[in-house]
Amino acid sequence: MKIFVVVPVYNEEDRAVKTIKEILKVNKDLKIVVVDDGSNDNSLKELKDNFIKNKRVIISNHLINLGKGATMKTGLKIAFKLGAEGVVFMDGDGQHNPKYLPKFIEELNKYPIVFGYRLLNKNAPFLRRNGNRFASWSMRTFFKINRKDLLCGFLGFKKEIYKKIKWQSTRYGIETEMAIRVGQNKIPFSEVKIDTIYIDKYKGMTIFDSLKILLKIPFWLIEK
Amino acid sequence: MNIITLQIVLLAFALLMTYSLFLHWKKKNITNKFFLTWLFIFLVFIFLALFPKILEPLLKELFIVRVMDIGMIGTFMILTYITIENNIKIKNLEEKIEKLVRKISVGKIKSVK
Repeated sequence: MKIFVVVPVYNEEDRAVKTIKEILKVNKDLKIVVVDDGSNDNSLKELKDNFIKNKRVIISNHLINLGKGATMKTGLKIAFKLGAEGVVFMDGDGQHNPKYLPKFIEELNKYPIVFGYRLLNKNAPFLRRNGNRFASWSMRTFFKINRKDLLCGFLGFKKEIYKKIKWQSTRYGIETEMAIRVGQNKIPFSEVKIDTIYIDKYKGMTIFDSLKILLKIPFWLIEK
Repeated sequence: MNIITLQIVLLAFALLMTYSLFLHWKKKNITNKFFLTWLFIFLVFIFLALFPKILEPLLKELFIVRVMDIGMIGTFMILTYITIENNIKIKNLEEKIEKLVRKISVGKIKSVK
């Protein structure tokens, strides 16, 4: 199966290049689609300077910032345009260790969708750890969706199920919405344990994003 | 603030808004329909500010004590309508922008690299 790695990047000039280089080392056949989401820093320039001649790295960008969910969708469309049969998403800030990519690909041969999960130990900031636990617990209790780590962005799926899990979220919340779509459509999934790496306390999802996601859950449940 | 002072404030506000509306219409920032709709709303506003007693039969019918209260209720209803309309339009605009940005982004990529 032809798998592409999709990496959304936003203001990661210090980390994006290193992340892509590490992914490239993992598998010599893997192609990577990097989408810069209208960064204010030099992320796009750094990416182009380092990978413009590399045929395995496809770089694109949003003219303005649209959010993670929208960037993932753009990356996905590019991957499908280039013939991908499946995609694996990884964050551009290096919080997902590429050493787990072969495991994701292996699982994708057995299941239509594969989610990563982190052991929410003391490495994770208090609010994120407990917020994630609460979200996972509520999804399990109220919606019968049993996921170990609801908010993990390291995930992959086959092209054939995209229509069933197509998301509306343009910003954070895409992982939760996807979990709901998987539950609604009763799609079998697998989970792969990954490292718990939190790089920046203030970047990424905040408590306010989590609250917005909670408010959106009922609407996602209605919109099938 | 007695009723006359309040009437002057409301009148000044309505005239200022009508003038602003007129300037936008002259600069062709707004359509004739938009201009006429809001002009009508502000003319009604001015009329009611000048002759609030005209609302008294309606107050009795609705069991409302003061003209000010019916003004507040009307204002909230209009603001709620405008907020919903704005929300829908912003959502539609966001969706259009997202599709456009994505079209440009995906369009840059040739099918086979």
